[in-house]
Amino acid sequence: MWKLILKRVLLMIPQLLLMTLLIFAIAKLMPGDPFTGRFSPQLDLSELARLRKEAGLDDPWYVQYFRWIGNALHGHFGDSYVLQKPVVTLMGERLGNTIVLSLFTTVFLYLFGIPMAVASAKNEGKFIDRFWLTFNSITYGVPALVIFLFVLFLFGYTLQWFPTSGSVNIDAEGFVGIWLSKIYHVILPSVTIAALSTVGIFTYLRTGLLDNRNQDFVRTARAKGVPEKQIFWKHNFRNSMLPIAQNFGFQIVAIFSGSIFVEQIFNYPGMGLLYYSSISTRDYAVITALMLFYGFLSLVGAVLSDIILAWVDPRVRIS
Amino acid sequence: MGELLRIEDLRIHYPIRGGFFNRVVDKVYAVDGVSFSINEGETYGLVGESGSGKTTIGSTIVGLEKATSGKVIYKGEDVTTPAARRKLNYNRDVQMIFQDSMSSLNPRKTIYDIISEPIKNFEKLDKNAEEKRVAELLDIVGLPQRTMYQYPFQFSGGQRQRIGIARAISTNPKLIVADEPVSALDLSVQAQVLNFMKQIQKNLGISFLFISHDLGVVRHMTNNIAIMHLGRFVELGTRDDVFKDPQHIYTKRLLAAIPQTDVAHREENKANRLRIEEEYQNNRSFYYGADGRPYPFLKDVSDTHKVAMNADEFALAEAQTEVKKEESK
Amino acid sequence: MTEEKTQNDSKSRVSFLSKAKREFSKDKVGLISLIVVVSLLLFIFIAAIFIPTKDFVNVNIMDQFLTPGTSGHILGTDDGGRDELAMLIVASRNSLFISISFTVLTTIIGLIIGLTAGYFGGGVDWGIMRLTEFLQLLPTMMLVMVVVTIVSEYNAVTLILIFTALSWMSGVRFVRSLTLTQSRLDYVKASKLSGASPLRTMLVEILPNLSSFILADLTLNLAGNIGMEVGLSYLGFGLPASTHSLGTLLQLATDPNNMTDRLWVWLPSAIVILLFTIAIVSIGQVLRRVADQRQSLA
Repeated sequence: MWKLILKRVLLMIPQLLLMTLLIFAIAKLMPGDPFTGRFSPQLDLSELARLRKEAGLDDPWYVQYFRWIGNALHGHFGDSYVLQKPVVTLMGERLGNTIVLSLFTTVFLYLFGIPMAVASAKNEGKFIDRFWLTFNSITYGVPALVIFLFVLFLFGYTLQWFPTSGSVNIDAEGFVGIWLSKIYHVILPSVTIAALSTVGIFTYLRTGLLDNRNQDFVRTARAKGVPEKQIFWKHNFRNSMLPIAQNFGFQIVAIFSGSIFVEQIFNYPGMGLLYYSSISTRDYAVITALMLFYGFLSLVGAVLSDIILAWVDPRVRIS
Repeated sequence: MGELLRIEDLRIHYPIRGGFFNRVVDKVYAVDGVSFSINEGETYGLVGESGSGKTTIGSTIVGLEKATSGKVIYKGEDVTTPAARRKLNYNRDVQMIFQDSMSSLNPRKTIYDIISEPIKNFEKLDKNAEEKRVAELLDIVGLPQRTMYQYPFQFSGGQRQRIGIARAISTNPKLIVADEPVSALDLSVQAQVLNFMKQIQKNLGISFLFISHDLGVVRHMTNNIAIMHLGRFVELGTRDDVFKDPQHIYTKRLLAAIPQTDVAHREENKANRLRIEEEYQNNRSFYYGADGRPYPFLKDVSDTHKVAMNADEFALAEAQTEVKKEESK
Repeated sequence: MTEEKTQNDSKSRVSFLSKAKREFSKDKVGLISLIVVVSLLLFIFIAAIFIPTKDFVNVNIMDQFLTPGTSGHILGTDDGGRDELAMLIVASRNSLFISISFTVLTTIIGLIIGLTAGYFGGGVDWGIMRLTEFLQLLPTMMLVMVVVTIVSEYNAVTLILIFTALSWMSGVRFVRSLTLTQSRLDYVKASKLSGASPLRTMLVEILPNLSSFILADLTLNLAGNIGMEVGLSYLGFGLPASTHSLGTLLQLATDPNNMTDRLWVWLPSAIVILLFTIAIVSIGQVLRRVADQRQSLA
């Protein structure tokens, strides 16, 4: 098991190298550099050239690349020239919000998806099954963005049940008060994303439950006289959950990266909104750092998925 | 009858990968040092259980599989490499009939397109000549002309196998590798297809390499036979050598396993089977090495007949039994 | 036994068209969707030809936010006083054009690469799959947003190319696994022995056997790609500002006043998007059943 984890983590190294090279290349292609923001009529152009040289912008690309990697490893991502703050500080402010949103979304997602699939599989071909199948094919096809707008229009503006922007009320006080306000702000977006993203879990689990129903291990249990309820939960459900568990890493990454739309529409100050606004303002230091963050996250997600698979599935663990 | 194809010390090994960096940790010896030759116009039988490597030999001869070492020599030319085969237009002369007639015919193509494929690639006839040739081939395999524009699913298993044969003979090949051509067919249809193959061989002078696990079918079809087990030949000979005077215990066991409908001699047959089984249990080491595989060298029994066994050990063991018998007297 | 098998085979292997016809006749929603999509497509692409450019380019502040029905504007006007209906038609055409070209392009690339990997196997396959796996890990949407901002010559064509370059991987795995299944069948071996070149074997023998799967997959992907285009344009990283898309129309909803009081500026485009994506998914599901007859309703 440990050997497997080690092997998988080692495999990340070439991937990480490729990814950082790609992001570095994009960053280099972006017009402007850390001093672009300091343009002013008073600034002497030769002074600017000197600053650039001092910062090493005239070095060969590989020198710059390794310096950049080295800085990133030490947590130095430069300053945002728009907000005049270190990028790390900026990201720190937003990361918490995105984590809260993603966490709630993940919980709701599994809370919706699993019972949906179980209900469908238990009533194959009946109305409930057809209903959830249709629901999931619609949510699969329809752009989430449009639904966000409808949800915001209905629950946010028309019924005014939920806030339409922000992550916390300014007048919220005390630890409990602030957290209650935070949760209140994420409920509508997280429930909406979760409800729209069930298709993967639903399809895998439903197919798994239906397929396993006729597998030998389930039939053997039945032949031994194990009660139906126990067969379903202990034998069938447990095995059908394997692919769902395995996909957990990717799911988290998808929720994290998918936050761009929802944060923009619900005006929720998280990483996604930061990314969006820094692209709009061409704040390249922030863009580069965020690309690196999201890229690294997806690599970690893939590793996580593989490790979970090895952990839950003895066939992989042993071989 | 001259020699058409010769196989020299053919080996096909598959690596098993594993471990930390996906290194080769072991090998599967699918075919391990096999030599034989096929004469013009003859049918050569290759017999063995599934997994014995017989299909791998067939695939290597037609060029679908890569030899690890050894040679395939066709009419004196080495055709082991793809480049050599291409240069000779080798597959124009050496074709194959597959076991599963359904999967060997592309469901999306008409019978005409299926049969004309080799003609298009090798003969490059004009449209009229090509059509004439396909019609002629359908005639040879006994299918009506109207089937030309039908699709494979519209035919029965036996008919589909004939379409496969028509495709295989379309370029007038010299050798056809028939890989279990009738095992997927019903018994009644089997005989029909087999007789039909014999007929074609007589008319067109084609050699067959007939691969089968069914000794009954092989006896009906072939002149010379090789028996395979675990990637090696255990016995080679003419049909009579193998069927009337089997030397290797594996051949004997195979022959004993052919179901008999002879009720009168039921007990006798049973006793025979038991005797062979006993011989197998007692004398394993005469026929199989310490690694459980047949011995790699073949001993001549007669000019045509060869068998794989440990000659020294066999002689020694026989002497010892003699001594024991003497002592017990 | 043989007879019975033949009959089953013939039932499951009739031509694509008749199978499609049968499946659509069994699925009323699918049939209605097909009619809706085809007629909407025809209407949008034909009507767009007759809409003069000035209708969706010229800004006329005096006519800003007219309610539907006033002074001949059936769906009212937007923030620039432009006719909503004309805008909707032109925007739909642009969005659909981009999503369709993008879908077709990625499918073709997926086919070429997937066929190559599945057919040749071995090292070629290993290399291609490791590369695709890696590229699929990249946060596509974010990269598109960045690349869009750094490309100087920026228009519909470059957008499609950027889109394609960053997400051609999605179809590769699917085509590869289909190709692998086909390559194991004897007809592919027979084709090699018939002297056919690898290219001919891939295109003439294997590809036709994948076509119905590919078509179903393409349709389902189209729905997703409409979403991608709408999303990017909504965020302002889609087509250049002068070119309208369903996403840019939705942008007006960002203003709370528009969202609550001027429904006509964003609701029609939202409805068109819903209508198209839902209909396309239900068509895709019928096509999937056509491709994989085990799921057939008939």
